[in-house]
Amino acid sequence: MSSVPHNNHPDSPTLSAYHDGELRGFARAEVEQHLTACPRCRRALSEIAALSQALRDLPRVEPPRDVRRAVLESVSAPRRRGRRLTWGIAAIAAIAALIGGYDYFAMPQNALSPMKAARARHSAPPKPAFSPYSAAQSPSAALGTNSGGANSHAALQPPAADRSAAPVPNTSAGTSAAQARLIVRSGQVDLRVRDVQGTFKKVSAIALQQNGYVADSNNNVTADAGSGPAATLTLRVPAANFQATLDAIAALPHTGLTVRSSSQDITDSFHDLQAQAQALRATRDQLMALLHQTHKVGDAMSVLDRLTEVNAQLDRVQSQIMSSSNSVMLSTVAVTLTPEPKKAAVPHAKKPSAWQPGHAFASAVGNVIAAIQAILTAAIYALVYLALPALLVGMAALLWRGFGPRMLTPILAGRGSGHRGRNRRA
Amino acid sequence: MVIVNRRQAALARAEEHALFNALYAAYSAPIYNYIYRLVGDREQAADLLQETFVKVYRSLQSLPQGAGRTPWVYRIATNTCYDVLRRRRLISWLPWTRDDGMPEPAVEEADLDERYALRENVQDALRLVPPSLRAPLLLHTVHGFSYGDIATTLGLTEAAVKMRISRARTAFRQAYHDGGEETHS
Repeated sequence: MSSVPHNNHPDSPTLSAYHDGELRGFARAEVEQHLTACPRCRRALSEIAALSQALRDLPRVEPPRDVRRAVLESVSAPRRRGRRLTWGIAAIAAIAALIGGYDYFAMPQNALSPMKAARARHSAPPKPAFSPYSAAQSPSAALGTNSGGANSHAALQPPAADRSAAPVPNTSAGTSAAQARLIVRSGQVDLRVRDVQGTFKKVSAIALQQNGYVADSNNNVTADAGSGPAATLTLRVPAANFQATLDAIAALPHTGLTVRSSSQDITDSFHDLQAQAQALRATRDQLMALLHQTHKVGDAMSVLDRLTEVNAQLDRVQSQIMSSSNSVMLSTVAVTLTPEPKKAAVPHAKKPSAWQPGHAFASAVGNVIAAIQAILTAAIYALVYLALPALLVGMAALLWRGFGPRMLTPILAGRGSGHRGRNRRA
Repeated sequence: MVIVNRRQAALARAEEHALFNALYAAYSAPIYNYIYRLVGDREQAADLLQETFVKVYRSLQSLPQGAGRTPWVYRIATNTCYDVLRRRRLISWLPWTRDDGMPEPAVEEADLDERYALRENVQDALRLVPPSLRAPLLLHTVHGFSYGDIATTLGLTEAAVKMRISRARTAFRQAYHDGGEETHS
């Protein structure tokens, strides 16, 4: 290539710039004039034009669809690099969510992990998670009778009034209480009563009085005293009437009572959901606008696909918002009714102050088992949580090894060293 | 107060999100094609497209208004590609057309397979043009950039752009004709 003009031929950059329309004024006029007289430069120019056309004629490729989502995922979780890693992390998150979800549903309420259960033991959980001794050890000894663990609910239908008369909750009453912070309240009342059936009806009536309803109930009419709760009810009442409901149930005639209530602040996650919904709506509107602008069927189809995807996401987020606000407006009260045991059925009905070596031994064994179980569970968690990252790191290392040497091979081959280079030549 | 701030943050995020979506809708296809022609591999182009738009999202604060946007997005894409090509030591491997001599027709070994499998002369020829020359050639010819826009995008002077495009054409033509024809001098 030469940039020296012979016989006033324009040099390559000048001819190239002329072709591109980047020459102005005198320079342009000069080239134009030269071209009229020089077939060689005309040929060079037409060659430039032909090559440019060849480049423009290269087929256009469509970007893969999942890139946009991968970008959004990686910006919402900082310091990700590459799609493989992003997917790996997504997989870990999914597995963690599965484990978490399983634990949540598999374990009894207030006992999300065995550790927690071991700590919560002293506040008398109604269903021991794994230790047959934990209920008997409970300080509110009046309730500690369901040492058999599994409750044999006969799953009889509750009285017809319970299900049919569930009114639509007066939701406006609940909202004023939680305007600044969004609090989900839930309570648990364990009652030991002489008349389980009578109390069952009274509790149902309380739910109605408080503008609430019985969401779920289980009434085991054949339950023997001492075999665990004979009836359970789950009430949903407006948040404003939550305390009144607890008080009313506690005021029913009973021989033993445990009341627990908890509240959970979901303000932050609720606002997150709202922001997500807002962003999704903005995206949807833009896609709609884009849809009106597209003229090609293929473009319109891909916009429509995105639109469908965004709408589905929006629906999911909105239903989460609905269920969150629903659980803020309506508190949950779980009631268990346990019949009064016969004296003979309770082995530890002695005075609580008496020295009980057997009991102490049993509780010690129970504690040890609980501790071992907690440690083992933690180890299993650690194994599961660490195994996948380790696997991914291993895969990344393998990939790197796979790519690295191939890039280096030419150097090694060029210097005549390295067995890979030699192998390839052979 | 906290809620107000959170709301503002959420709104800002929603705005950012919408802006990003608009940019992605407008630029993803041309940028993907640009990257693909620059690196010559679709899988890698998809990765680089993602990386480019992650950078775009993270630097939305410095998004210029109006006509400056296109060079801005292309600059991010070009730098992302150069980074990766440099990281994989491709830039130093690929031939460099020199004014004083013939371009070395050396091709990276891995590319040879693809080269003969593809049998697409234009694509092959383009592959033989060094990336630093390929980028301005593509920007002008395929993406319709003026020399001034290319200068802004690549951080060069217009004179350098002119020179590089000319050299790119020479290299491209030589590769295309497989060294069969003499260069214009």
